[in-house]
Amino acid sequence: MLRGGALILVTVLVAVLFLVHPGAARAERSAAPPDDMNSLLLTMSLGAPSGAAQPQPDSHPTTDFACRSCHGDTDAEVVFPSGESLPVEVDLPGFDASVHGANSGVFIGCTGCHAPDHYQFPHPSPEGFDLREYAIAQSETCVRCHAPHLTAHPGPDWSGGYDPAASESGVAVVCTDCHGDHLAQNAEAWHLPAATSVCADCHVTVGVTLTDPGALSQHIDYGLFDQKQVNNDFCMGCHGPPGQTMTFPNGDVVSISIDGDEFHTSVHGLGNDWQALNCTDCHEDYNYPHSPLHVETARDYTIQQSELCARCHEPQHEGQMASSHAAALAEGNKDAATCVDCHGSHYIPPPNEPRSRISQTCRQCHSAIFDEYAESVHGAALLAEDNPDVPTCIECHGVHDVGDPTTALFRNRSPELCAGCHANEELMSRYDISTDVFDTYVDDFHGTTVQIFQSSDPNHPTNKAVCFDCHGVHNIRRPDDPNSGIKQNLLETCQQCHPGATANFSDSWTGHHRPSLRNNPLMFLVTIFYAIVIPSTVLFLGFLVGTDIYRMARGR
Amino acid sequence: MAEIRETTHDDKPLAATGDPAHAEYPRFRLMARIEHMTLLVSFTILCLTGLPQKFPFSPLSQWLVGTMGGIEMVRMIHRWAAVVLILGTVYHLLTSAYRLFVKQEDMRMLPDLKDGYDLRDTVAYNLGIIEEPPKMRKFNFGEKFEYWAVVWGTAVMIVTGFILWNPIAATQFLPGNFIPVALEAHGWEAVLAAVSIVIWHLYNVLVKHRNKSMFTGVLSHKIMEEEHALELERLEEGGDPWKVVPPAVLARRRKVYFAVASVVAVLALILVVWMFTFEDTAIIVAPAVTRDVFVPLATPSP
Repeated sequence: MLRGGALILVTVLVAVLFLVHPGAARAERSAAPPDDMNSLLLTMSLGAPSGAAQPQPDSHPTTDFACRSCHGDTDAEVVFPSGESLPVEVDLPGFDASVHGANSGVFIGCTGCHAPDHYQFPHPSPEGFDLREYAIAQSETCVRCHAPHLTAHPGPDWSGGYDPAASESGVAVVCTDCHGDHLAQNAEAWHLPAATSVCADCHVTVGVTLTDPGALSQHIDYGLFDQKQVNNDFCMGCHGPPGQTMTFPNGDVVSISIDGDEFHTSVHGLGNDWQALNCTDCHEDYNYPHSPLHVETARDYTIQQSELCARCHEPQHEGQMASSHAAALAEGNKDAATCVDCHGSHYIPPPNEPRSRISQTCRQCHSAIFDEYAESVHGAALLAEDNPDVPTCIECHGVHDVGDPTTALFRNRSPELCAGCHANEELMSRYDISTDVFDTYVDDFHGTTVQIFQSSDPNHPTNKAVCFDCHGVHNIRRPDDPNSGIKQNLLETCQQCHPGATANFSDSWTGHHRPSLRNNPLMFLVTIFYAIVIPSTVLFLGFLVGTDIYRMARGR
Repeated sequence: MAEIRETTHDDKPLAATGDPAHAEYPRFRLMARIEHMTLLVSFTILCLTGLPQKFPFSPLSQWLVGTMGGIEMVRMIHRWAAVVLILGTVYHLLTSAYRLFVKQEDMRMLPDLKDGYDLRDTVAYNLGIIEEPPKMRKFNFGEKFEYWAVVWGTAVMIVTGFILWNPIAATQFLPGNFIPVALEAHGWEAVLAAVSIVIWHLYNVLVKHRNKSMFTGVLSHKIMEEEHALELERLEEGGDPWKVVPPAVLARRRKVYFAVASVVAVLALILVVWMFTFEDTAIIVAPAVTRDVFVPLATPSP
């Protein structure tokens, strides 16, 4: 009786234990072979997430957090149209311990193999697949990183398609058949003698003789990461989640997270006229694990990577190589601008939209100059109204071939630079600005010297005034600007080059006016005087000479 | 004749013997020829260095400037040539003063009514209206025209040239707009002088005749007859080529003259040196402004 009562008590206690600790029951269920549950669920669904999140290694990408919250503990299954089903639970501790897991140091997140467009919840149904086709499709993700091997098994080289008919057994072998999916083992494990049991088991099952199990090791010694196929999803598996960083040997820490959406709205993204660029178009070293960079600092890497832009943008690169930025870089100034300093790297907007972006770009390094420019008549119009006519930095300095503006060459050519706009009738008429400015400058002593004579030897330094000597360099104002226009203190302007100049001296400048009765009438009259005297003299003397020739012609 | 040789070493005797058609007659004394040579050289250089600046767009101008070593060199040559021209002008004024006050020659260069008649008759003769050419004096109407053209031109060029050379000094007593006016006048006056020389002078001394009297000092009978018939008659009648002054009188006047002239000459020299070094019009090298160009933003702008 006592023994019988004790037996009942134990049974009840065990039953109660099971009742109050449902996890134990689930643990029992999940340990059961999947086949046992095939008939339990008819449609694809996911069970409610368990109350407690699985413990996560620190380095888990945050998207994995979302995956893990459901797939770590669920009795849901995927049911394929063929009627086959697949449990969606993942052995997370097992995965973390696998060769791809968080503890391996070569962590491939969930999205490394499962395409991101399947993340959306609820996940789209696996239409058109049966279980085997799903295994084959997933195995294709392996060859993003790994060279297919043991290709004696027909099929998984993905070069000619998957053809079971080519197999002696009628069964083609894909990656996951041997390696499993989430619990892939590393190369060392495959070197162990026990590993051949994987081969042997299968060969026994299908009845094909395993001729030389030892040959396996020859294949796994090399080429495991010899990438055959590349795709952005693979890269984004690691680089998609935010907050990822890498540390350069010198301690520079840079973000290596890429915002895929922002990339695709940039010029290299989906809207690219040519084609959307892949990560590997610029980052060639896509083998995983990545081989170490041969640079010390983040800046060195930027400079190195900028070289790659030339592959597609050769004319721009050639221009850049002729620039003073490239010259400074060649001299060892690593602050000198490279392609990506102005254009950006992953998020490259059209560089001139809005137009003010151009000068804002230069501002990143030349902020003091920009501040002056922003106050100028040109800069103010650009920044306030995105004026399409005023020069930004590049109209004067060039785009990629930004030259040294302190040379005699730049100085000698600068009047024509200004004239490019200021002698343009159509452009200037919009602002009621005289287009005589260039011609009257060239008519003047300064302008004649610079424009005509130095043009024959443009590298010859000149001390003659050019436009910017009087009007300012970046801080160009209207000449009648009450604060700092040159009309207010023309003498001061003259004195920059003519230190001895006194009050009358500045009147010697004709103010870009053509001489007329209104502007400089004396000069106008002198011109008229000679316009009469010279032809009259020529006519008079010519007449005398003519009569003399007439006399001689008659032989007198 | 002895008298003449005493005062001028280079006079050749009248060709008293032989065919008068091959005779040569004294026309210019050595110092006048040197004066002319000075003017010829300086004027030519001034034209070659000046006219390209008046017509800078012409390829010929640019070739000339390039050949002469660039615009700065051209301007330097122009100024040195100007100094030579000014010194020649000073010398001319001094010798003119000598002839006026020491030798008390007549002012034969002044134009008068006869020059008007000569001009009229020359044209009439050339056109075949009258049969005989006018008989003209040592300096005919054309030569007087040239002489006064040079006087006028040189005066304009020296005054405007000084203003252009020393604009800061000039604007201390002139309005500023005189400087571009001076530049305009300087340039057009040069054109006027150059075309006059080419049309009139070069025609008369190179084309019409090969007149070498400014180099040899003497003129052939043929040209004398044609252009200076009155002077030829006077010389053939035994007239002196140069005015003869009694030595005692000459010596007395000379004493005064040289005293004054040496002072004037020294002052003129000082004036020229002063002009050359009068002012530093402009700084030699355009000021280099040093800027910190690399001033990166602490936080990137949008």
